[in-house]
Amino acid sequence: MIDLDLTARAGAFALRCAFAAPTPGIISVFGPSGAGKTTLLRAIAGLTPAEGRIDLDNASLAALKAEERRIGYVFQDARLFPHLSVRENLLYGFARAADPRLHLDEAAAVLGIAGLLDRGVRALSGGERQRVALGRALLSQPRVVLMDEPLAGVDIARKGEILGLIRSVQARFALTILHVSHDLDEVAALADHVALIEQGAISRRGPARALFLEAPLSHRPDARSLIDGRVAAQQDGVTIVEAGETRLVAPRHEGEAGARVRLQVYARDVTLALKPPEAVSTRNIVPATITALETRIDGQALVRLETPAGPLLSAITRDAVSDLKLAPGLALFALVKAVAVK
Amino acid sequence: MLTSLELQALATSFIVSTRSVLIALPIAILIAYALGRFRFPGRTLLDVLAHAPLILPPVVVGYVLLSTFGLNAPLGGFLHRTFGWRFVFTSEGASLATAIMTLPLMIRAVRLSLEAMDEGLDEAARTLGAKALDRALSLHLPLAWPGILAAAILGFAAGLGEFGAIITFVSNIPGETQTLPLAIYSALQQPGGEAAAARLATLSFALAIAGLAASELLIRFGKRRLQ
Repeated sequence: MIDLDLTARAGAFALRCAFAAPTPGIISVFGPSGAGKTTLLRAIAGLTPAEGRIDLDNASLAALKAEERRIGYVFQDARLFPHLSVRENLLYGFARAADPRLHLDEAAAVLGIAGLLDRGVRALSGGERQRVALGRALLSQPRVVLMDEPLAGVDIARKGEILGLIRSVQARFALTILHVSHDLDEVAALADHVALIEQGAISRRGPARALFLEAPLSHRPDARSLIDGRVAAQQDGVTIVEAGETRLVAPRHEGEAGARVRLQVYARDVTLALKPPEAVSTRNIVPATITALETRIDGQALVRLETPAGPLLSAITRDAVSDLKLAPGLALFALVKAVAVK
Repeated sequence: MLTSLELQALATSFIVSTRSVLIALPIAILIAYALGRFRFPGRTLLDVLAHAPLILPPVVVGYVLLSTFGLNAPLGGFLHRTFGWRFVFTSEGASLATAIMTLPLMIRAVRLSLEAMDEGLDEAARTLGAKALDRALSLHLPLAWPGILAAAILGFAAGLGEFGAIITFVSNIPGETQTLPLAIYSALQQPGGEAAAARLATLSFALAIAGLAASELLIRFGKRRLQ
């Protein structure tokens, strides 16, 4: 359990944040630039003076100095020490940790940086720098890992790789990760728990799947529902995923049968049919029941559905709503045009 | 070529200047570190005192040293009686005078290097559990080493040229306190000493330029390295 209630000032900006979330797991704080995300992380790390409570798994951190908090901070710009090799960077926190459990060899292997150990840090690519920064933080045996926009300096092709890595180290070492980002894709891929931050305050928070179904996230043009499933089989270039009480066809995703995957279904990719459609190319068609109808800020209709795969959102025109006489309680079929796997 | 007296002056200069760097460098690092990284009561006073030799007439510095470390002065007398240390009229005293005169330059070189450091690295080290002294030794000083090296070279080169403080404090004794500038001065006092003075002056000039160039190169190299 992480439980915060703190106030901090950075220049004219005031932060007043209170939230609690279960641990271990990935907690994402999502908000626009300037909302106070970095100030929040800095306050938790003790780098910006703050007042209030920071309780983490029954340890109280607020009264401790930054160097005593045992917080692994993965900075946006990595901040590797330029006078040290990759190995020496990785061992900087490790050498200062009491009773280390995670060791260099294991961390380097998991992060895929075993081949870089004797290099200097200046020649590393953005993705490699982020891996080394993550390794350095993990090896300091932290109580919690703080990540500030960890994908900012990583090129697009490598983003998915780093996201997968963050998820897998979290699971492997049962870490508590507090992650801040202004990128909804990053939050959707990582978060177990989400808090929304606006103008220095937490406006909403909750388990990721539930929060993505609620306003304001459900009213965004890129609104989506998250489905946590498991790989059932790999066949013909696609991956079959067990989701809730049904199976969905997803783009090919590496993973053993039984591996956990998170599917994202965008509201704009879900169309509705009153009768089971015939001869269509859509592979994922699930029976659904309308639970609610809303009008989005952008004028589209948002249809909330209950399906065997879990709750889904569908964004359609208001025209379609009246034509099909859609109403809560109506049973119909949801055609899921595309599923993204993370 | 150089006469034996001139070679002796060159050797004295090297010994005096080298020893003055050994005395001044640790002090310069400490003061630069304190001034560059901490706010404390008396900070301005320390800043002013450390930089005073830059604007004081060197003769005044020599005079202050004489009245502090002279055998009849309380501190000088105490050091002589207790440890057998004697500064007046010795090359050790010349080194002490040179160290104090070159301290401001050396502090500046170290401080520039420390201030060029990215504060973000210090924050990263703090989150990794490094306390203040630990960070000074594992992060700040290693990152400032080009500046520290530059300070040493600059202090050495500038020390070769010290005149006023040396001649006032420890006099002009060939083989003991007669450095290059003092030897030039003596040569000019003698009829027909112009040729010797010119040789020594050329030598001094070359040494000073070489030292300054080396120091500037190191400072630039260090700045590039920290970016």
